[in-house]
Amino acid sequence: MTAMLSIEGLKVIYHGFSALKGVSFDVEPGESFGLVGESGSGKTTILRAIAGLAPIASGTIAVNGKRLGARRDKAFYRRVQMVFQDPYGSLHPRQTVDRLLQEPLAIHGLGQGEQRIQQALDEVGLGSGFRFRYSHQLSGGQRQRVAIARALILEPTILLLDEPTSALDASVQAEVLNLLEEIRGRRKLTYLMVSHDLAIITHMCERLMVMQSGEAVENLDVSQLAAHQVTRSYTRNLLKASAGFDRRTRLRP
Amino acid sequence: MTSLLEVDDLRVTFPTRTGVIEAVRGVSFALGAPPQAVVSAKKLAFDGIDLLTAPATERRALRGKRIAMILQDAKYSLDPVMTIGRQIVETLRTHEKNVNKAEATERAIAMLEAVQIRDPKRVFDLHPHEVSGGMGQRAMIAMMLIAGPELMIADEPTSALDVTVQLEVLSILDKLVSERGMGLIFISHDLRLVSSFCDRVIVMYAGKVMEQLKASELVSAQHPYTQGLLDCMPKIGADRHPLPVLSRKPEWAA
Repeated sequence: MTAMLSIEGLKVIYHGFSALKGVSFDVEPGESFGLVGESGSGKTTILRAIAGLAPIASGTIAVNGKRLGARRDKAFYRRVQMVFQDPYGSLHPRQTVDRLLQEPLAIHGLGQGEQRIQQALDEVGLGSGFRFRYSHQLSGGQRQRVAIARALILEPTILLLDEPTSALDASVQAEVLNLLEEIRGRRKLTYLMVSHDLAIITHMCERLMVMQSGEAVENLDVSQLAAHQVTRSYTRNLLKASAGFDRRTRLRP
Repeated sequence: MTSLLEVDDLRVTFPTRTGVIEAVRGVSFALGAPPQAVVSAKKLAFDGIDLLTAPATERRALRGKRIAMILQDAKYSLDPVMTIGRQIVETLRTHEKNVNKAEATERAIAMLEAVQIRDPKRVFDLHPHEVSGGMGQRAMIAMMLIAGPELMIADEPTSALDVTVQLEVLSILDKLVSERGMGLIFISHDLRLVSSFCDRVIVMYAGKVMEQLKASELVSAQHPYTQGLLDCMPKIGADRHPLPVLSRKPEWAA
């Protein structure tokens, strides 16, 4: 079986700063793969490199066995879509939801816009009542649903999720996570999900990679993480930190 | 004995185009030793000073000096065109007029060091956009602590930070509470942090207090809203698909 997404020795350098120092991993079709680590560890850079938004210095990315070139073609963006971290920044403030959803359809020359928009809104649980609203008229959770609808409207096979719930509060987070799981089950999607919250990753993914300063620390199955079977002290610290505040522990290295 | 801060039947409303929004609808609590709430009619008092009737100049002297506030987003709250050091020095010299420039600089650098910034002299001369989120948040904490406040209001101080930095910031706050006896109001939607960090918790919904309880007893909360909030968080090792979601009851907002 060819991997849905295969990354080999990926390096990204921003103005002399090495953001990714040779990262490799595979994501199988239909799998949900998590990337965890502290801020600045390169998680988001991986997603941006795949989407063609980061300068790749060396290494290869292959989607379904096909190696990507320096430029992404239109067909790539129909297969791979991204949901960004901040739903307050990722939606155009002067476009209605309808207009936001029409944009990808127009770019890719897809017909039956009416029907597709209706379907996409239904799928994310918003309904037609939201269609002609502006994003400032929506709550954070509703905005993130619009962002998910915009990604889904092109019927992609891979979704790149960059901390899709970190800007939302606990109860809304649960709703969006459930929505993402349900869509993945229904559409047989492959997810590559970034989060700094280990609990979210263990909930959503089957496998994960722990990252620190642009390098992979270790690859784990979620069951190993849940059983605290980790080999590296960095991962252990992350697990400890996820358990909450403890006066006795000092986490400083 | 009086409390450090007393809030009784506090109401906040915002007039908007679509009608009046009642953001806070009758909230009462007290902070500081002794922990029992002192009830007196419609009062908002800090250390006995009634904040509702205090003249503007008196309130201005309190702000930043005795009552300080850490805002949620350090990046937006710090002045983008001033170096971090200058902002800290400004706070200090506003409240302590007799401090000269050299001494203020020295104290600002010492304070940056106290909030675990590794290279305080370098950070002193940096602008807010040149530092990471975690460092910006710590710089803001340093600015708020420089005048030695008795009460600190921290509005989601760690929400923008990742878990490891989060705990560093919390241990700084914790040290200040335990060593200097500072009062702390910690505003957060992260119940996991609240239950492990705070002493007492007030759970709010639609501008009202739903429940007030000891943080250690948060897991056995009675109100369905609190229970729902606790229940809907993913937990490591728990296999719950889909996650339970909170169904908001109209009577909570009544």
